[in-house]
Amino acid sequence: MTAEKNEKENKAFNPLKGALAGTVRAVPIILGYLPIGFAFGVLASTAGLNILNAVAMSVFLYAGSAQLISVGMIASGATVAAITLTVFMVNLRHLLMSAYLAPYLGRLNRWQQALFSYEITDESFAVHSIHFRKNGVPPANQLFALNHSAHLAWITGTALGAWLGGLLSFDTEAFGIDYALPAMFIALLVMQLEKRLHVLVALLAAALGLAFYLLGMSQLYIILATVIAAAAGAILHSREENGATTLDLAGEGEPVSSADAGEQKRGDDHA
Amino acid sequence: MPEIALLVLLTSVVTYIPRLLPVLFLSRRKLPKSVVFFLSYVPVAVLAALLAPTLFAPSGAVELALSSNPVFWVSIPVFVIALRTRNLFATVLSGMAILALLRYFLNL
Repeated sequence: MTAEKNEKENKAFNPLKGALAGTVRAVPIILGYLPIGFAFGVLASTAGLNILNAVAMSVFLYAGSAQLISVGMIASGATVAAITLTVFMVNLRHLLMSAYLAPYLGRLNRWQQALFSYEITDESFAVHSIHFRKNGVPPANQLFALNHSAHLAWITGTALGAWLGGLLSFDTEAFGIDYALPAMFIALLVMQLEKRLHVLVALLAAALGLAFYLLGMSQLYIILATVIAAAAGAILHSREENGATTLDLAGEGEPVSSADAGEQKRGDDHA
Repeated sequence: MPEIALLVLLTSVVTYIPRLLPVLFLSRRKLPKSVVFFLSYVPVAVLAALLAPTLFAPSGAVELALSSNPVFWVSIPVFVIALRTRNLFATVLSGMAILALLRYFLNL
């Protein structure tokens, strides 16, 4: 978000280089999306969808878990209304991700913002959010190269799965490919743990997420756990800021927090 | 199948709206400090909430045996690798390799 960094990246602006950098940064996502897209294609065809339907879902809906849930519900004969409501609840978590990314996207025009937000997934969000915070916002072509190549991998996997699904079996477990996305989430989570409060929020969100999930709230556990844990983090953070040096949880008022506040101020000036 | 076309349309719209509106309306607005604090913890919280069921309860119930949930056990060294290297590719590739080897040698 720092203005100096943005300028520096703009000076080195080179469309091809930016597109390549974006695609390279998408590789871990692509590794995960190809096989999961393939699995979705297979399930879609066994649920009675043709290739066109399956690909249309991957192009327009573009949300892994929601697509898998929809196909399962189609197979069990659910109504359009029930499936739509379920998909809405499952994907509501993107609201928070979109809100987090918003302040960084002020430089994009409205059409670019519309296109960028269209391709916000758990995975692209995870990769973008940490990059924005640590290195600033890269040029638009890098952002879109990352998003489009991930989306293209998802569509390609879907088409292949819907087409070949019945014909060949593909053992993703043998190469650990099914672990690409969880491993990526672990790496991105670890990189975000900058101070003690982050660790605390992560532990709280994990505990709540698991609890809500086990209680059967498989559609809303992510957004519920996130809202509660992030709110707890915000409350502790503002107490820490207000000079509550007695608060142990706040890490004895480490200088990290004041640096953070400085960053926030710079960000506001920029906006 | 006109019903499928309608379904794709509706699910796509209800998915796009929550992705779009915050970017459109919050990107050029100065947010209150409390909201900024809240949002700053969203990535950590989302990732942790997403991961917990995957690691602890991959098939719907908490399961920590090596044979039925190798992902949990592999994730311990993967966390350490992530902490040490702070490198996305190194973490993803070594995680995949460890899990593949574990499955191979344990015949999972």
